[in-house]
Amino acid sequence: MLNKIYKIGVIALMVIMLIVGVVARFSFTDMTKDDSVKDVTLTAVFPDSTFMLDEALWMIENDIDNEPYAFIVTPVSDYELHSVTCYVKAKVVEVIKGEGVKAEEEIYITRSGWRMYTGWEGYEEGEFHLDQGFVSHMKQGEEYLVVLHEKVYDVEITNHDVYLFNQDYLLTTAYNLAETESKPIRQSNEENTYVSYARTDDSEFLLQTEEQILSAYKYKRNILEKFGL
Amino acid sequence: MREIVNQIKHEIGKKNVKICFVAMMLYVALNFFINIKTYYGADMVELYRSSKLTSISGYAPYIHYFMQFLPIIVSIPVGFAFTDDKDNNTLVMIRSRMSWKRYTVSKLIATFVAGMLVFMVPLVFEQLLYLITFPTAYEDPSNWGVLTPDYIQSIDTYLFSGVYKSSPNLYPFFYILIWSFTVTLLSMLTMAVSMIGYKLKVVLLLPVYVLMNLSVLIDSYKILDHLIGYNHYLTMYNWISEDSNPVIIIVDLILVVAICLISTICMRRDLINAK
Repeated sequence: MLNKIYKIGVIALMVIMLIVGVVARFSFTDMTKDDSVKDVTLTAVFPDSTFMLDEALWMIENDIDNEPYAFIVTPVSDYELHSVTCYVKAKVVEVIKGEGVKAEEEIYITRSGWRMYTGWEGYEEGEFHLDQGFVSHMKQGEEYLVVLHEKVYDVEITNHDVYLFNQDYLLTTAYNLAETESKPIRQSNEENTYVSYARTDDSEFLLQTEEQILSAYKYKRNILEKFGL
Repeated sequence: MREIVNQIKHEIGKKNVKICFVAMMLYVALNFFINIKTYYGADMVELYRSSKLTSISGYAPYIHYFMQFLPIIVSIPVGFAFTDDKDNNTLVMIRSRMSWKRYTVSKLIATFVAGMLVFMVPLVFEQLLYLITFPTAYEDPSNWGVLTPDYIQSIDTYLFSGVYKSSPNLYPFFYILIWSFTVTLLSMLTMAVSMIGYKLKVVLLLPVYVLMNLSVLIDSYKILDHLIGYNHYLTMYNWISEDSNPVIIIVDLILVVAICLISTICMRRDLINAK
């Protein structure tokens, strides 16, 4: 009798867990695959301080020569999101600096801060945050100079080497080689500097004032000159 | 061969094995329902790699309590296999039908198989269940991005990190195999000790209990260069050190040798006594 109860009990427990599991499976959502993801995603713009921006740009200009990799790349797709992680797959057009990569090769590029967040304490329900490093994500088909800090082997998603921007720099070191425009994007409220991701699509630099934008383009010209572009 | 199969059936049918199996299943179920409660209706952005939420993962909510009880749990399924045979006079009956040597060898194999089944089946079922339940996510509950250098370095500190690097999906199954193997050997050690002799059955729980807790004590006083605490090695996705693989291999080898040695010595002693 006890033997029967044991067998039935164990099988019943397994079946219940399976049923609950299957039911739960249908409850999960994937916002990253939704077309409206850009509308519900927030991204940070640089604080309204030209002094802070100049400090950040000065630091990059001074240290960027020490970065081991500099390539001209063309993204083969817009940024890709895999659960939380965001990266860009790009084709190398020219290797300016760095070993282990050849022209025409496809590489993965990301930044530690390019991650989607939600559900954290203090965040509104259904609010998604995706930081870009105050520079718009690279767009498919356009040419960029990217200055990269290190290469890591990714065992989780791509099973490839992934090149990382220097996370110590406040701004992502990706520079669109075309003539671009940036519009001032004012933060929506006093409490934080987050704005809708869709608002940042047309600007290369995510800054709040004309003065900051002038500084940023001057910095961009200096960097491109440094790399002979 | 038939004797071994009969012994396995005999061992699996024992109360201790069933109790331990049910205990493992209940722990797995508890962990599963907590995860369902936490993540039900969540977006992919909030989910982690599902195997990192399972019951022997370092991120499981009750892993610390489970680890506290493990030194007792390990001895229960097959630790009393020999004493049970002795107590209910099965030993006399079996011995009349086969030699001591054959009995000991078949007993060791049967207890090994029974132990592996008790520990492995619930954990493998759990892994498959999580694969069915949770969508494929890659994130780590440490909340380091999976493409950050810190996270990638942390992978090197997993036990048998090479397996994880070649296949994160197969790693939990490999780890469960190692985990069950080690835990079963500990259970068999209790059985081997029981062959030496005992007065009180409950005292047989002590050697493995003391041994496992001693390993933790040695760690806390930093007596050795390497961590040897069982809690580090029997917790999946635990950060130990890059060169910790040999430790668990050596411990398992010592256990195998100790079990075989004690069983052989006791078998010979009993043979001499019988003459």
